[in-house]
This record gives sequence, C-alpha cells and structure tokens, in this order.
Amino acid sequence: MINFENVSKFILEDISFNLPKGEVVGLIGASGTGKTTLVKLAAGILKPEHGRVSVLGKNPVLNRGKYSTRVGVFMTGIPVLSESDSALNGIGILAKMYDIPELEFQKRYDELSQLFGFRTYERERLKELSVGQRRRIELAATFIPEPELLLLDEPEIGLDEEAKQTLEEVIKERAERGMTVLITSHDLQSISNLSTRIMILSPNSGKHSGMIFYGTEDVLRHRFLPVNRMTIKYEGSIPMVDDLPLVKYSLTHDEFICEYDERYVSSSEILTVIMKHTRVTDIKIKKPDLEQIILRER
Amino acid sequence: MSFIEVSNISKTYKISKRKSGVPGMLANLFVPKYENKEAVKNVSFSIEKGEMVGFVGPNGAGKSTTIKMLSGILYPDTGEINVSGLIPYKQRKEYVSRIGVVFGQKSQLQWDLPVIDSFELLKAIYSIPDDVYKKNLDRYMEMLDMDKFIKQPVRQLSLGQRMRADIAAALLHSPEIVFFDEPTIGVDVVGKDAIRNFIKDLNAEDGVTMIFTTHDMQDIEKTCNRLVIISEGSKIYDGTLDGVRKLHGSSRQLDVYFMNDSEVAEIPDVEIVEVDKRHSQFIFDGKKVHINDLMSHLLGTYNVKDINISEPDIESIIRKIYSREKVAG
Ligand SMILES: Nc1ncnc2c1ncn2[C@@H]1O[C@H](COP(=O)(O)OP(=O)(O)OP(=O)(O)O)[C@@H](O)[C@H]1O
Ligand SMILES: [Mg+2]
Repeated sequence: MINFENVSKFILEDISFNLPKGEVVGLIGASGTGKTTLVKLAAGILKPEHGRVSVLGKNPVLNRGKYSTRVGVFMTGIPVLSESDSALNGIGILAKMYDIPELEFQKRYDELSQLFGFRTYERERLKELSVGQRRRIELAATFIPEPELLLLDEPEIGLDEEAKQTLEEVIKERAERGMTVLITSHDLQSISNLSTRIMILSPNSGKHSGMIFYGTEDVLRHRFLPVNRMTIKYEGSIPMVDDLPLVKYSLTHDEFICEYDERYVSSSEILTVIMKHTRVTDIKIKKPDLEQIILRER
Repeated sequence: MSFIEVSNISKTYKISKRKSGVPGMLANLFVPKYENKEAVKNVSFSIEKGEMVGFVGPNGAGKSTTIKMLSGILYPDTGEINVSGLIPYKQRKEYVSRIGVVFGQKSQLQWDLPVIDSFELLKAIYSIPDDVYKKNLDRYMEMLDMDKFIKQPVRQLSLGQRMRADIAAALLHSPEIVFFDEPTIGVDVVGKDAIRNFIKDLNAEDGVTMIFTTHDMQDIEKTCNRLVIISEGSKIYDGTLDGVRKLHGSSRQLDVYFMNDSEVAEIPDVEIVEVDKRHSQFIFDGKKVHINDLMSHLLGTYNVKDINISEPDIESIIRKIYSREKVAG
C-alpha cells in the first residue's frame, strides 16, 4: 500500500520500506526523528528530495485530493472539520463531499458517534467543546469515508483513557476488515496493543535519521529487550532452580525473583520447573517498557 | 485555612442554540436563545502551600474549566475560591503576578519571534527585575535544555520544545503557584521526562505549588502523590494513586501463548478472552482463583509456549472508574 525507495527529506535519510495491505504499522522514535515528515510524505503533503514514494501504486503528491476517499489522514494542524460547525453538521458536509449515500452515511454516523461517545453534544459547535471532545469528533470524521489506507499522526493526543481504548478497538476492527494503517504515537503501550509491525526511526551516525527497525514486537523485543523479570511467590519447599539458564535470581523462603533472557528460556519452562517443587501463590512478569529502546537509541 | 481554598464552586456555560443560515434565523425566533451546560458542579478542595496535585478525568469532565477558574480566567457562578487571601477573578491584577499558567493546547509565545524575544517581551509586560529574570532564565535554560532552540522562531519548534519554552515563559517571574493544563500533551517520552523532572525539581527546591491536569497517568505516577478525579463536573476522588490501586488490587491478567492452535475450555471464575488461536487472556481475582491451580491446569492441558502475567495497570483501573461513573450517572 505504501512503498518508500531510498527516500530522503529534511531529517530523514535513505528510508526504504514496503507496507503491505491489512497491516497496522506503528511508527515510533524520539522527537525530531522525522515521524511526522514520513507521514506527510506518504500523505503527499511533502515531496521527497531523493528517492520515490508510492501509495496505492501512485505518486501521492500528484494524486493528493483526487482519491482522498481511499486515503484518510489525521494530523494535528490539519483540521478535518470547521470550528464553527457541530459534529452533526460538519460530518454531514464531509459525507456530501465524499459522495456517501444518505442511508449508508446514517449507518456509519450512528455507529461512530456511539463508539466515540459524542451523541450528547453532537449539535454543539466544536469551539464550544472541550479539547478531547473535539478530538473524538474529528477522529470519527476521519473514519466516515472508510478509507483503504489510514495515516494517523498522534491520534491519541488529548483523549481520555476510555476514548483511547475506543480508538484502539475501532482501528483493530477496521484492520480486520482490510484497512491498512500507519500510526505514530508517543503512547507506546497503545502502539504495542495495535500494531502488527513496528517501525523505529532513530538518529544515525550523521546528522540525519534512519530506520533502525521494522518488524513485529516479538522480534523487536528479542533483538533489543530480551531480558524479562519474573517474581514468583510460593508456599512450601524452596524450589531448585540451578539448572535453569537464568541471567540472575534470588530466592527466599517464600519468593523467587529472576531475570531471564527470553531467547534462551521461556517463562513457562521456568514455571514448570518451579511448580514441580512447590506451590505457587502469585506470579508477576515484567517485560521492559518499549520506551527504553527510544531512550537508549537516542 | 489552607493556602488554596475552593468551596462549592460551580460553572455553567451558556451556549447559543441559534442555527446558522436563513431557515435557522426563522427558527431562532421561536426557540430560547441559550442553553445551559453545567461544566463544574459543586466542587470543593483545599491545597497546601508547596503541594503538587494532578487532576484527571474523562473528556469534558470539567478539568480545564476548573483550572481556568483557579487561575482567574473564568469566574465561578456560585461558590468561592480563596488563594492566600486573594480572590482570583476579583483581584486579577495582583493575582497574576503571583501565578503562572501553561495551557498545553495554546502557546503564549509569539509564533514568528525567536523564543528569547518572547521571553524579553514577557519581562517587560510583567516588569520582571533584571536580576530575577537573568537568574531564572539561566536556570531554566539548563533545566529544560533550551539552548538548542532558544534562538529559533516558535513555529519551527517541535511540540515538546514549544512546551518547554512555554513552561519557562510562565515561570520567568518566579510565581508561587503554577497551573498547567495538560503540560505533556503530544510530547514524546524524552520530552515528557524532561518536563516531569522540571516540575518535580521546582516543587522540591523552591516549594512552588503545582496544579496540573493530564490524561497520562504516568505523569501522576512519576511526579505527585495526590490525585483528584473529576467526572461529569463533580469530584469523585481525592487521595493518593496507591489509594486508587488498592480499590482494585487483586485482579490479575494472565496471557498464555500456545505452541499450536488451541480451543480453550471454560474455567470457573475466570474470564477468558481469545485474542487469537494461539493467544488467550485469563482475567481473574487473585483472591478467588488460586494461581497454582490455574497454572497447573493450563500447563497440564495445553501446549504452552510462553506466559505473561500482570496486575491491571493504572490506565485500565482509571478506565473502569470512568465507565462506572457513566453507568451510575
Ligand atoms: N467555551 C466553551 N463554551 C461552552 N461550553 C464549553 C466551553 N468550554 C468547555 N465547555 C463545556 O464544558 C464542559 C467541561 O469542559 P472542560 O474543557 O472543562 O473539560 P476537560 O475536563 O478539560 O476535558 P478534556 O479532557 O477533553 O480537555 C464540557 O461539557 C464542554 O463541552
Ligand atoms: Mg481540558
């Protein structure tokens, strides 16, 4: 759906990737590594200095606007609706622009206004709403044309926990029906919940920024953050753990804490050994936060 | 009497119901012009000098409205606010020299001017003495790592940089109290870290009273120990973060990844969510279900590749509190 070939623009240097249909790709990286630039290139808002960008088989710059029902873009600073419209009016106008049949529009609007929970204030002008109420409406508006490809730049900004979850659910559900998504966010928990693949931008040896990773979260963790921490509480005899290939561990009369490298041993293997010896009363596993990659690679 | 004393404040917005366009004008003749919207209902709290308090709550709960009343931008319809003897919305002139206000959504800096020029402008507006200005500027430059962008026009800054500049701007006159409305909105991990540390340091070193709103529970977790939850205009919680956790303490989520496609059979008292054929989640109360029994059942019945078990994170606890409020209200 999106194809970059040796693309350079501003801070971005030599970016190449292919984003297959139906995937949800989470784009992460510290501030200033060019996430928004990449999204703008894909949206056809920016032109590459070098290399080639193609979206749905076409040059997005030339086609910007022409096939916008196929590509949806949500980005702070590019308003979807007018401030002096209400949700009901504004989204209605959008539907006309996109030529969505009335009945179909009603169906979609009902569903989305329900999901994003703005029914009770759908008649109020956007400028008379709270920040998050507005963002909910603008997000719903982005989904109205049911684009094949959706580009979301930090969509969760200003949303409360409930709306964040709704957004995740809507994206997941649409992705299952075939929508392709490129999403950036500083909320890495949400990226982890959503993405089928993760892409990381990071400063390279020069003054630019390059792609240091593109793959699933499992592979990412394997490569960058393989050491997890497990705490097991138990009652009964003290287990024997000497044969397990652990990074380190400590044992007391009722608690076992270890760090293990998931490339060499799995948590269920450890647990199976422990449960042979004793009765487990509580288990906790802490995987490192994805944030650490960004903090470290800076 | 506490440093900040808020008693029973309420705020109702009047919103115009007028429709636009010619048919709208006709219709307007027959409908009342305004509709009332209760944004804040009967909220009270007190805050001591040097305290740091975070306000959270669903979208539209009334957090920003509360901050606006506290900072004297809006007046409450009923109730009272008293800040060390001053009434914010009445003694506005005197009050603004003692407070700093940062709105994450809106910059008070000049879009086209370099950051440092905006600072100079504020110095003149607030008549900040040279020595105070210089001392604060030097200090914030370092604490907020601003030298890279201080000479750049604001429009060229990233969101995180702009926010740091805005925070410094609000603090140039050494205010005693600072109000932040979503100071970390749209800021990346590194920038958030910088902002949190700054807020914490200033609170610890200078005893500045800090009041902020946020949707990022990590902001609360990493900075302050008092949290106020607002929902639908009312205060529904005032206490520590640990207190919130304790309300929902013993639930556990167990994620199990299978070697091969597996159909998971029901287990009493355990909620099972099939994520996909090789991954299921088991949610249960640790007081009701014995983890040892559950694990031996699972390890004995299925071909388990990996597991993960976690306490509910603060985000999902907060989510539950919000949705329960809605059901109840
Ligand atoms: N300028 C305004 N005119 C009319 N109503 C308003 C205005 N600003 C806010 N409201 C309404 O007041 C209520 C509280 O809004 P407020 O901005 O205080 O919420 P909030 O808790 O800050 O929400 P968010 O998390 O979305 O920022 C909402 O119902 C909102 O629609
Ligand atoms: Mg707000």
